Amino acid sequence: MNEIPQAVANLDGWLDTMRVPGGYGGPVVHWWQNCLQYTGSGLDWRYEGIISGYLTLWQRTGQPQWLEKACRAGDDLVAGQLPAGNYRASSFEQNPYPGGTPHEAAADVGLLHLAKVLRTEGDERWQCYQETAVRNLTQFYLQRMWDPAARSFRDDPNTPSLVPNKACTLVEALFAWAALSDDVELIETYALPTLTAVVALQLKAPHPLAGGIAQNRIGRNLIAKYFPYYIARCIPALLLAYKYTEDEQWLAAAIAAFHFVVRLVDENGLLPQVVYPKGINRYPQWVAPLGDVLRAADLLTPYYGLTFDKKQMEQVLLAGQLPSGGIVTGHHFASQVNQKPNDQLPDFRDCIPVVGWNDKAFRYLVSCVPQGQTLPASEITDFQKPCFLRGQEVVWRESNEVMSLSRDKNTIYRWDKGQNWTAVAEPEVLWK
Amino acid sequence: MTNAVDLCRRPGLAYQHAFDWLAVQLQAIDGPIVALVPSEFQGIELLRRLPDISFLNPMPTGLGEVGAGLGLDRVAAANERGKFAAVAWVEPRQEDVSCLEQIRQRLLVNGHIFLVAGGQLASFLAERRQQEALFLTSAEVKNAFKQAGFTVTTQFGLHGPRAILWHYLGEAAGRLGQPHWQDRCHYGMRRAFVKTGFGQEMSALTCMAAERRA
Repeated sequence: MNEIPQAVANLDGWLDTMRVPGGYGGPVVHWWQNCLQYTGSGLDWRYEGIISGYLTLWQRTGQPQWLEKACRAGDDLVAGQLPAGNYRASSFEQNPYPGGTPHEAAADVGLLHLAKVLRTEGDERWQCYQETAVRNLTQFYLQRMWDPAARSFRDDPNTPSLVPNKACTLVEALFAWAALSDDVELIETYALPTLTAVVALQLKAPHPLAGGIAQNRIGRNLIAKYFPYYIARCIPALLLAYKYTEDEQWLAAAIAAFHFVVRLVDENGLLPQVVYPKGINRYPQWVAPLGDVLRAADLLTPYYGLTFDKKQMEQVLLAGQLPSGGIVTGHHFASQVNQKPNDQLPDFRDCIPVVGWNDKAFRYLVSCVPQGQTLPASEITDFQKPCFLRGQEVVWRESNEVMSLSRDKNTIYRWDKGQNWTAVAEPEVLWK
Repeated sequence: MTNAVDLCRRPGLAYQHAFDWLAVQLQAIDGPIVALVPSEFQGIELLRRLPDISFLNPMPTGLGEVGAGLGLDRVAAANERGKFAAVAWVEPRQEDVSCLEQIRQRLLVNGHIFLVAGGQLASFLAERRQQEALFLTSAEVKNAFKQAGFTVTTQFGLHGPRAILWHYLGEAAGRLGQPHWQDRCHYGMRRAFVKTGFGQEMSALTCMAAERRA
């Protein structure tokens, strides 16, 4: 297992291998859906962690190349903005579709952080990044997703709906925009009412799932599913509201949400995927996304002095780093249906590092790099591992040039890095 | 008029699978590729995946506007005379059968047609219910291919009976107040979504690759 500076150096090296025309690409595995064939640039939430991570790395090390990498990522978004304000292929696991939520707001968060840093530095590029984010926030979110009757943002322009974690990402973007523009109207009119709607979906004590925030509401139907990972992603926005208003209700909601998450951490430092009022679906369990949970813990600590011991979860994250430099997405994807873990061999999806999950690990690990320390050279190597595909043994391989899956001597899946689509995807790998 | 919201709209899972499959096949082709589609819907799905693809006549009206929305400089009509290496043929209608001979003549020897057509369970496709056209079934197209001198090299179905069964099991679990079982069934449906081998025509959509013989 690598020390954090080496892990960050390897992640940076791996991210560079994932460049495609127009951005960062590669396959996606997720709870909701996989995107294994489209491997082109995804202008989605991966840019939140990539931009913020490189900005932090620049601030920690003082090395200008990290700021330039943040700007390169910002340039991807600027170039990929469509006339309607959306970003091309912004739907992550559903790519190549634009209009992804919370993905476009998350990309805006990255752009606005970048703009703020550059403006402070007197670098004129900040204006272009801010304009791009504001165009997206105005034309997509404010004009099409704001529901004035509900006083919150919808997840679909045509359906009354609220998805708390997505709304919270958007609130983060609105706070970042307000910080640049000194426009508190964005906070008062949109952000705080949206958070009020989010907190209304939080279970209160003595409910056994107290602190949990329901996954969504569609019309009047509450979808009572509680995803610890997504609930952790609500915490930064709640803390922004607390800092702005000094109203204790936001801090209390953030702490309750984190207590809910911490109660579910198992003996291995992992979280279940989703908890229901009756029942649980534990698998797959996230690894790279845990960066967001650890970040939420860090954000809460100054206000609360959390006693949560991050060490074990941090070790899980570092242990998930592959020799190729990426961190695996999760464990036990094969158990998504029967929820019985198989410890013989991993599922092939357990071996796939995904940019839009690794950005979360990257952002967190970068925040642990000591001030003034520069990174060592990256040490990434080719990697292969036996695994299962639909119960049959196959071999996953990754190098700087390719990701592939083979059975016997036949290649059944191959992505030549840098390409927008896989070169080979046999029907058994067509799995969304 | 096609607006930005339409460009964000995603079709059902079967179509997402089918168009991704088409993109993987077509991007690997060395040579000109063209598409024959019955309406704007299929054209949008191809353009967002393969921005350089050109369209055979009749090209759906409105695709130029769609291209602008997708940030493309232009949406091209296929050259009237040139040969091509591959054709994406999506949801052929009854009246399109006559196009097959024209396609055969303009397709290079060993060139491919990549077809997406409705299977026997096409009525499960929400998108089909919104269209009034009389579409050919995959079996009808397969027969037409045979008569026109094509060899089918690949075929698989999308959203077959097993996937549909998983879906209904999930619905039942949901109604019984067991959302954790509903979710598991949903992923069972996704796992079973692609149908290969025997009975693949009993599916909502069929994907087929056919090669022009010399």
